[in-house]
Formats: sequence, structure tokens, C-alpha cells
Amino acid sequence: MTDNRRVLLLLLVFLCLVAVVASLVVGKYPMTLADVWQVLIARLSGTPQTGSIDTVVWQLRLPRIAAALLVGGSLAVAGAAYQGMFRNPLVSPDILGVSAGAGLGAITAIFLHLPIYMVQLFAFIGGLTAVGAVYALAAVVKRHDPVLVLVLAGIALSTLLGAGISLLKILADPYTQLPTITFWLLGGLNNVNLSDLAYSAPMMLLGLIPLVLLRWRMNLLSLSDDEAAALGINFTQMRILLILSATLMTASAVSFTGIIGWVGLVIPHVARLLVGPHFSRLLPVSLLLGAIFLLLTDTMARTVAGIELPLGILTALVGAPFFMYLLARGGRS
Amino acid sequence: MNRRTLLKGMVAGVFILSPVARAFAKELLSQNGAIKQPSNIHKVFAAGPPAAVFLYTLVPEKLLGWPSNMTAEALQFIHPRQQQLPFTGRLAGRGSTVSLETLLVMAPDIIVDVGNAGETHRSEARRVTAQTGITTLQIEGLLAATPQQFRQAGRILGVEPRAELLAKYSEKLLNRAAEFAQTQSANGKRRARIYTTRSNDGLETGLAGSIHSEVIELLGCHNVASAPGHRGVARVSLEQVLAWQPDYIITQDPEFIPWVKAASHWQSVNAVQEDRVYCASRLPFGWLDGPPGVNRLLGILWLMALLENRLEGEQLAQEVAEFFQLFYRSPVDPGVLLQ
Repeated sequence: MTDNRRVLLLLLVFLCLVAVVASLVVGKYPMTLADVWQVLIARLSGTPQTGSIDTVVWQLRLPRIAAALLVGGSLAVAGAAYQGMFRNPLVSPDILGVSAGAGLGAITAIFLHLPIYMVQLFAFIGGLTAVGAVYALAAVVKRHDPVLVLVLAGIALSTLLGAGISLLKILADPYTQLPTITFWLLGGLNNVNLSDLAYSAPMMLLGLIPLVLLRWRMNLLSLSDDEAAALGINFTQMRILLILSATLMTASAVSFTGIIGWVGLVIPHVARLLVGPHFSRLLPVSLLLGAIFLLLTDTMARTVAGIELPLGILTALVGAPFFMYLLARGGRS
Repeated sequence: MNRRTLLKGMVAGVFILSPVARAFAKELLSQNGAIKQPSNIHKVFAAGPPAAVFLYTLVPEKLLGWPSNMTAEALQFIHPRQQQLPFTGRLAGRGSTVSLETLLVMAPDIIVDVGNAGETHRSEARRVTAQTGITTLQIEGLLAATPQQFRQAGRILGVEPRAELLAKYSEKLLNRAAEFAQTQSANGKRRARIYTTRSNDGLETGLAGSIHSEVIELLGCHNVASAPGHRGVARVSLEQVLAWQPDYIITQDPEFIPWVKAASHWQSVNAVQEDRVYCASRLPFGWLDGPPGVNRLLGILWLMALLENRLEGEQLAQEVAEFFQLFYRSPVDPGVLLQ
């Protein structure tokens, strides 16, 4: 069994590398495999070439690939952690309102004609604030199951923030701002650059560390609070840490990509179908699957049509049928 | 009925049925409800921003209000009397910000909408008329058809002299644009390749063939952002812009230019490196687009000047001043908008 898992992990790493190479050599800017190779080698050996090909490879494709891997992995891991913690298979990383908060933040900035880095900052702060508010709201309520209260508070606040988003959409200029808002809400990686990665990558990795360190204890979260107390484990602390890491990962991802649905909900399920529910096995598989999945869909998004297809549409279009197939197969065996 | 008229009728009948003819005869105006005598039309409701620009230029004294929020920046170029007009909201089916009840309180004599309306829009207009009894008039919004729009609407709204004045001006300008387009393609010259951007990250664009690209195409230029089968607004990647290497990048967002000049990943775009990123004004209405109304006539003047390398010249300043005087009856000199 252990051997099988090792083979699976190796296979996924290999697939990931193949996906990276494939996505590095395809794109709108015409260039050959040899061009890509030369430009890569040139910069690595300290004598960068100048010209468009260098820009395309180093400033556009590589950051975008890195972003796809990071965001896909983060969303999938955050989703896996949340599904375990909330003991609910329908939970996605934005259950506590992070997407709605980020959305409202970003759209407010677009509505106010603010420059792009402010849009990202507003989105990030909006996401964190929303989750903070949900947590504070749930902490006030003492009488119910804390996990249930968190979920309900998240749903309620998301709805409220969603109303705010709709209001701004109605008030926005329909010819200039509304398309921008719509595209933001559909998500995409097409304006990723190195400086986006410079701030978001450390935060996503920072969110990942506690999850990796706690991967053995995560399974205990499926116990009820009373049972955990009997075992001498402080659930509240662990829950806070978990929410903090998942929120950090999701908010920093969403702040520069817009809302990308589906990855955080479904990839953990696919991973579970492959390796079972044990979190220490689920984590690496979710991470790799999420990264590969988002990289492949993003490569499709930038190559299949003359224009960029919004990532939010493609993840659902590709992911949903695949997931249904897996479900059907799993059901039979 | 003699044989000749019968024959004519038959030929005409066949012609009317053919899709070509239907495209040709696509009525510029379509209406629901009975239209009052021009002398009885005192209050006109603009259903959306393009209609507001159209009505403001044609029948300012009958305009009930602005369908979208006008910024103070934009209002300074509007005639003092219309500066005070209230925000009335727009009428666009589910996207409406005005309720039918409010509409009845305002009691317009006619509702005017300008734009390229599909069946959804048309059926919504029919419903509004059925529910409120207010006549709705829809005008096809092609920029090239501006003179006809003014003349036909002017007749209905009882402002024929003013309509004729604006129509004549538009006709002259459109003819100039057509001549310009010919010289663009003549004597083996390569047509100017233009990329327009609509968002602060530079990657949202109006595709070729869409209402957002009409000015560019009227002047015979090549909008590099074309995607077969797609019309409207789309997002593209910077890699795609690099592959296109447009001669000019045009925006309506003044903050875009300093941003793009500082953005390292945009430096491989020749137009950025060679300082061929230009910003058209969006005051009081977008010169090139936004809303897609008669305001885009200014874009023709501006883009011609840009392509002929005389943006700073006296000629453009004069032409723009004339336009602001005639169309917007602007109390302020628009010279500042050219800097």
C-alpha cells in the first residue's frame, strides 16, 4: 500500500513537470521549442537575451505557470482542510466568506477607479476582514455547535456581501466598469506578473506550513468537541490556526486572480477517491492535483480561443464532467 | 391594378423577403405605442447613457434627467441648465434602476433608447409600453448612421432645424472619415494597427467589429484585437498583445499611461517603448467609446489628428472647440482635455 502511494505521488510530480513544460512551450506568441530553451539557458547562465521572446518566457509564461501551480495547490489544500474541519463534503475554501469579501473589496476599488495594486489590496483586506467578521460573529454565539455556527455565519455574511457586490454592479457604469467587474468575478491569471507573485507566494506558503505540520492531527477534527476535550486537545486553538492558514492562502490567491471556483471544492474529493480520507495522505495529493488541474485549465484558457477565456468558466467546464465520471466509476467498484 | 404594378409588387415582395433586403431595410427606428404630435412632446426620458447623449445634443430642453450618475468632472462641460437635471436611472429590463412607478410619476411623453437592440430589448420595450402606456422609441445606434438618427428623431420630437444642423455636421465628418479611410488603404500604405484598452491593467479590450471599435474601423484602421465569432468586450493576455505588436495603444484612462511606462513586463511592446500610448479624454462622455453614442464623433476628430501627427496642433483644438460648442453647448473651453 505504501509503495502504491509512493508511485502515485511520483506519478503526480511527473505529470506536474510535464504540464509545466507543455504550458511553457505553447501560447499566442509564436516561438519554437529551441527559442524557449535558448532564452531559458541564457538567463540562467547570467547573460539574458533582450527581446520579446525573453519577456514572454520569463515575465509572462513562467510567472503565470508559477501562479497557476500555487493558486491551484493552495485552493485545493485549503478546501481539503476545511472539508475535514467542518465535517462536510460540500464545503469549499470560501465558506467563511473570503471570496465574497475579496470580491466586494476589489469591486469597490474598480468602482472608485483605483489603480490595479489598490484593487488587489482591497481584495486581500476584504477577504481577511470578512473571515474575521464571521469568526467574531460565531464566537459570540455560545449555545450551538461552534462548527455549525461558523458555517451558518459564513453563509449569512457571504450573502450580505454578495448583495453589496450586486448593488455596486447596478451602480457601476455599464459601458466601462461593469465588464471589468464581471471579468474580475470570473477569475483569471492573465494579468499575473512577477510582483504579484512576490507578495502572494510567501503568504500562500506561510499558510501552507501549519497545515503540513499539523497534518497528523487533522484527522482528530472529525471528532466532536466533547470527545476531543476528553482526549485533552484544545480544538479552539487548532481551529483558529487552521482558519487563519486557509484564509491566508485563499485571500492572497483570490486577491490577484479573482474568484476561481470549483478547485477547492472538487479536487479534495478527487484526492480522497484516490488515497482515502487520511489527511496526511490527502494533503500532498490535493496539493499536486490542484496545481496540475489549474495549470492545465489555465493553459487552455490562454490557447484555445483568440481571446482569453475566463478561468472560472473553464474550471467548471472541465472539472464537473471529470468529477461526475470519477463518481460514477467509484460507485461501481 | 394593372399588370405593371403587379409585377413591381411581386419583385418588391421577393426582395422584401430576402435576408439581404431585411438587413438593408433594418429600420433605424422602431416604436411601440402611438407617437404624439411633435408639439405635444415636452418631456423625453432617456433609457440609457447613449440615449442621454443623443437627446442632450438634440433636445436638451426636453430631457428629463440623466440615466447614469454624472460626475462633477463631466458636468462642467454640460450646459448649466442641464447640469441641474436629476439622476433618473436607466431602463433596461432586469438591469433597470428606475421603477415603472417612478416612470409614471415623471410622466414622459416618450421614452427614447439608442443602441443596437436585440429581440430581448425590443420585447422589454413592448412590455413597458403595454404596462405604462408610455410610447417607447428605439433607435439603432450605429455611428455611421448618425445623420439619419438625428433627422428621423428630430422629425418625431419636433426639433427639425437643430436636427438638420447636427446631421449636416455629422455627415461632413463621416465623409471626411471615409476619405481618410481611403487614403489609409491607398498607395500601398500599411493600415495603422491599433489596440485599445479599457481596464487599468491594459488587458481588457473592445474587439474588432463591436460597437466599441466603430471609430477605429470607420477610419480604416486595423483593430488588432479580433476574434472570429466574438464581438464585444474581451480579456486578452499580454503575450497576445506582444504577438500583435500594435502601432498604437489607446486608452481612455489617464492613469494607464504612467502605469504602463513603469510596468517592466510591458516594455517589450514596441508601442510602449516608443511612446505610442495615447489617452483620449472621457469627458464629458468617452471620446472613443463609453457610452457608444454620438459622443464618438469626437473620437473621429481625435484619432484622425493622432494618425496625422497633429494632436498638439491648432486645427484639432479648433475642431474640438467647435464640436463642444455645437453638440454640448459647453460653457467651458475644452482645450484642457487635449493636454
